Amino acid sequence: MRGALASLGAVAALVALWEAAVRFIPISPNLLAPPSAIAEALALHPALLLEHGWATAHEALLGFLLAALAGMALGAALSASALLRQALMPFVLALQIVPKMALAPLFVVWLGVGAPCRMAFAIFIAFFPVLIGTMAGLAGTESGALRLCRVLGASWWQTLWRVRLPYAVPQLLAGLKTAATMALLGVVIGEFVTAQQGLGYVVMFGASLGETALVLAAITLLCAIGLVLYGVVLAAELAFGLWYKAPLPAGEFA
Amino acid sequence: MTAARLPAAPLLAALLALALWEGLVRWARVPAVLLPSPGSVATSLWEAAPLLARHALATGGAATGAFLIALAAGVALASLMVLSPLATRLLYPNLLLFQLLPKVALGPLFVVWLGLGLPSLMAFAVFVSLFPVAIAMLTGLRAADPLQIRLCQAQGGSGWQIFRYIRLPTALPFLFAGAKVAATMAFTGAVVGEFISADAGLGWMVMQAVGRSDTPLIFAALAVLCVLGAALYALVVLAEDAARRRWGTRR
Amino acid sequence: MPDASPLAVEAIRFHEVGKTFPTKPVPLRAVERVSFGVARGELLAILGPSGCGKSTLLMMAAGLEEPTEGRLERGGMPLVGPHRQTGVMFQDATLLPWLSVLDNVLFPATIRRIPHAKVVDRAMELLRTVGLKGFERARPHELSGGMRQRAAICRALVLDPDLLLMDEPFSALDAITRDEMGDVLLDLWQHTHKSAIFVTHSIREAVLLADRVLVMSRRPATVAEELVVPFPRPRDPRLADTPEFTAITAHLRGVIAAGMQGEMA
Repeated sequence: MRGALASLGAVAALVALWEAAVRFIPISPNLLAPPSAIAEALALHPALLLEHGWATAHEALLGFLLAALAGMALGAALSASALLRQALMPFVLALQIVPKMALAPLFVVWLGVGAPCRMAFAIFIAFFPVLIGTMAGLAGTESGALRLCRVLGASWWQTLWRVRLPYAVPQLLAGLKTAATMALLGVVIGEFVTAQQGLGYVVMFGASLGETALVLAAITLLCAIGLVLYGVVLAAELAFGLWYKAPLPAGEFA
Repeated sequence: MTAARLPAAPLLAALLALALWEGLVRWARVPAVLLPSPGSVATSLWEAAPLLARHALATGGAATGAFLIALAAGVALASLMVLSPLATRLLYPNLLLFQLLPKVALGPLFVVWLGLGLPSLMAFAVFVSLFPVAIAMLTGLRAADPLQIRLCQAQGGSGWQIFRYIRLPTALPFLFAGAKVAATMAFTGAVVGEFISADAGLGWMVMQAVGRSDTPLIFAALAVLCVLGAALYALVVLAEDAARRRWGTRR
Repeated sequence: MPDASPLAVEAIRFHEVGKTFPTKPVPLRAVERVSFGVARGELLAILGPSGCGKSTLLMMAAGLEEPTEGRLERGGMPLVGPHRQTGVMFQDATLLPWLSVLDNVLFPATIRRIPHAKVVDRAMELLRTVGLKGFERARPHELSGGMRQRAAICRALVLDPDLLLMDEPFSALDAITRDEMGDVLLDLWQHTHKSAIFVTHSIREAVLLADRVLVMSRRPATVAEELVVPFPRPRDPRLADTPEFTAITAHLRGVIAAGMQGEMA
């Protein structure tokens, strides 16, 4: 709680510093609009920002949910079947190394410039962290706990449900956190590339007009959407933590 | 037998996938605009080779440069935070906040600030690849065994010696993990920057090809891009192996 | 006193049991054709240096490993796989971190689909006996290492098994806690009179707790010496300070050292 307050304080200080800097140092507002100008832009174009913000938000949320489902399903399947792992893991690993976000234009070629293209790309981007998190989680069961299950004659299903799944959740949640950010990024990059609608489009449009305040206003909204998506996962983590009660194993970085 | 099979199996699977792809495209007569056959991608790769090479150099140069800058800056930032509590207080909350933001979406801002061209492209690529390095390095520096630090202090080790002989070796594996992410992110940043606005580079070339619906060229350019990205990643892995051999087996 | 007459059905018997692991490039011979039994109500200690294959013996008794040759009998019947009436304890407590102490103790009932209501009284009684009364609702991470291992004992005993298998159950604990756990085990065992196999590399622990000690040779494990501990029960921990006790431990130490030298030669 104190950490959260400190972070809030740091952010507030940063915003104040920013406003002061722009006021006292003669910077062109085209280069760096002060926070007050961003607030103004938000108030000035509510309909525009709301419309495009909604488009971005619901595509990102839907993309995230579908990616989470697909990632968990395939992750569980890969954990269960060695044959499937041998067949698919080389591709998964290869895709981990290449800059996946650069593949956005392919989705335009395949699916046109509409929402399906952006969502498919968002799912593609967000899917991998979930897959990896699920697999790492299911593989990360303490060996002693598995031995205990064997001693007690637990069935495969009981072992999965009672032991391996609870052990997997922290890793899975870490994957979902990354996926939440990735889904939003996928939609925004898709909007950059398709230039049709959404906050990414507003950002590009504003940038080309030199409307820095509008760009920053759209980016502020993007960050807010990102935090809400992240918050969804955080809420799941909190709910899980209430049941788990023990300290969760540390998540991953990056 | 088993040693030979290990690298051969994925290669075989990839070849099989390529053959399947070629066969599918031919058998189902998929239009080249949707999915070009590997053969036509290869043709496009061959025909556009000089052009691809020029743009690959631009993108690869920008991404590699950005990666190196991000590496240096990330290590410096993390070291500063470990050596100075004040720096930690000032920087750490902001670092965490930025970690939550969709950083790649901020690309257009860099165009607004720095205009079109290499400086804005590289600044953006540095921006997106800096955080994985800084956070990984910080985690690593903080993961040092407190007992080892006590031991060093007990023998009169200075703060710098503790940093050099205990924190840095502990942090190395973390740094490499962060660098792997950063290598991919540097290419992502460079290419997304080129998507947004550029007059050169593979990302720009792909967007041009999208406009002309030249799908084989899109595939060719993306293939080059993936190879470049994988190459930088591979270099990091090689450096990690070298470091591990040089400074012990700690993973 | 344990009933050692050959006519009585033993809790478990090893018949010429050997075990080889198919490791590469050289297969690992862990156990070399050993035969022994555990009478009903007997506490048998298996003593030996680290990595001598004594844990493999226990794994086979638990039905987790199959012998390469020979066979095992459990209560006169061939042993195939984990047995319902066997309780097992390992070096780590391996309590599930998200379950309370009581739910961890009841975990075997959960897996066997036995209603908790049927065994919860027994679980509470066991927790009280090992001194964990009041900690039923605590989480494993709130307990000390010794307390966790006590909970693990309760979990092994909750379904009232007739055979208890323990693989170096106290070796992860500090010396003081370890002695304490020996007392707890002695106390529990003297109340319940279960058959038990206790794998350890502590000579003192083996002699203090067991009716009979098997000293294993280095790998592949064979029985180097069998010793019936002559002290009557109930035993007191202070027994370990008597000259008679020290004479036996010195003798066993000699047997183990001789085995090590044989290895060197």
